[in-house]
Amino acid sequence: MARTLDVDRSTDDRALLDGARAGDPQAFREIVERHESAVAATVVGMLGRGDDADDVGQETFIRFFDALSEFRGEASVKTYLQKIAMNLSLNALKRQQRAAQRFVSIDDEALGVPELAMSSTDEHRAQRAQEAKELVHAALDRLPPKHRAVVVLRMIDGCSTREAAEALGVPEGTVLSRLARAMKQLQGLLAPAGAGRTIALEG
Amino acid sequence: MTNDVQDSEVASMLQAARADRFAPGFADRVMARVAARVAGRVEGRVEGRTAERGSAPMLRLERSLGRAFLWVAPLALAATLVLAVLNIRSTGSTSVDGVLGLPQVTLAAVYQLDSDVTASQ
Repeated sequence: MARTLDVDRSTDDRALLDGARAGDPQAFREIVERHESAVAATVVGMLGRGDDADDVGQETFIRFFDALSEFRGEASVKTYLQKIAMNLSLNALKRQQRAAQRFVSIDDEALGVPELAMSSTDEHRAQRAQEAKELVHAALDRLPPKHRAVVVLRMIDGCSTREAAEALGVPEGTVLSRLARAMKQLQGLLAPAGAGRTIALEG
Repeated sequence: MTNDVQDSEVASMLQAARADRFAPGFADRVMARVAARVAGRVEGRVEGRTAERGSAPMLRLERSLGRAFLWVAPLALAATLVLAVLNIRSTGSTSVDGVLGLPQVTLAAVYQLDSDVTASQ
């Protein structure tokens, strides 16, 4: 790594890419920090919090680093990273499922979406918000990976239907039909948790 | 409660559950891996060069033979063609024997040779 770009928040992605290609570590670091949020939303949405998500997040940026010379900029850096993150997350889910099939517990079927503990006091608001997040992730875990991917891209990452279709390599109609089915399933999973959950999440 | 209301409620729950960051120090962890990768590439290039230096005499011989062949092959081909033309002219035959300048072998010539050998003994 040789040249150093004068990097700040106003430097655009194109300049950062040029810097990173020229071997400037500060430029690539800025790319990582700038897009960590988008990648985290995708990966944690797919895998939940934990070491697996962190590993997949790191691997996403490493793959991007390796592909710097080939990245032509047809898609935005964010979209490109989301696509890598989604593919790696789906692969990680497959690995997790294969591992889970080897160690199936008879209690697993009984595990559902946890009930949200009812509490209205202010000191419990943060705890309830955290519980509500866990509730959402538990509900997402119950979705088939393909449906989960669509929900994460459209509803959490805020991608358009076209962007989600591009990232997943499926037609837009497939994205819409999977999203409709997934949302219906999520309504069923999240409804029993109680009416106070929205307030808790916003807290 | 209509489906739209339920949908917007689920949508707001999903939005609120959005993860904004990985565990603290994420960028440091990525950059450490990037640095290791870059170091690995440099090491790989150095190893490649060292390997090239180790096999340098063989490579030099191979390259000089290749260069020599490029000069010698057309000359050899031209010489062969000139000789073939001269042979065809002197023998008047376009057969392989004529091209190569070999004497024509007939049954009478073979018997003649045989009798010459017997007479000399």
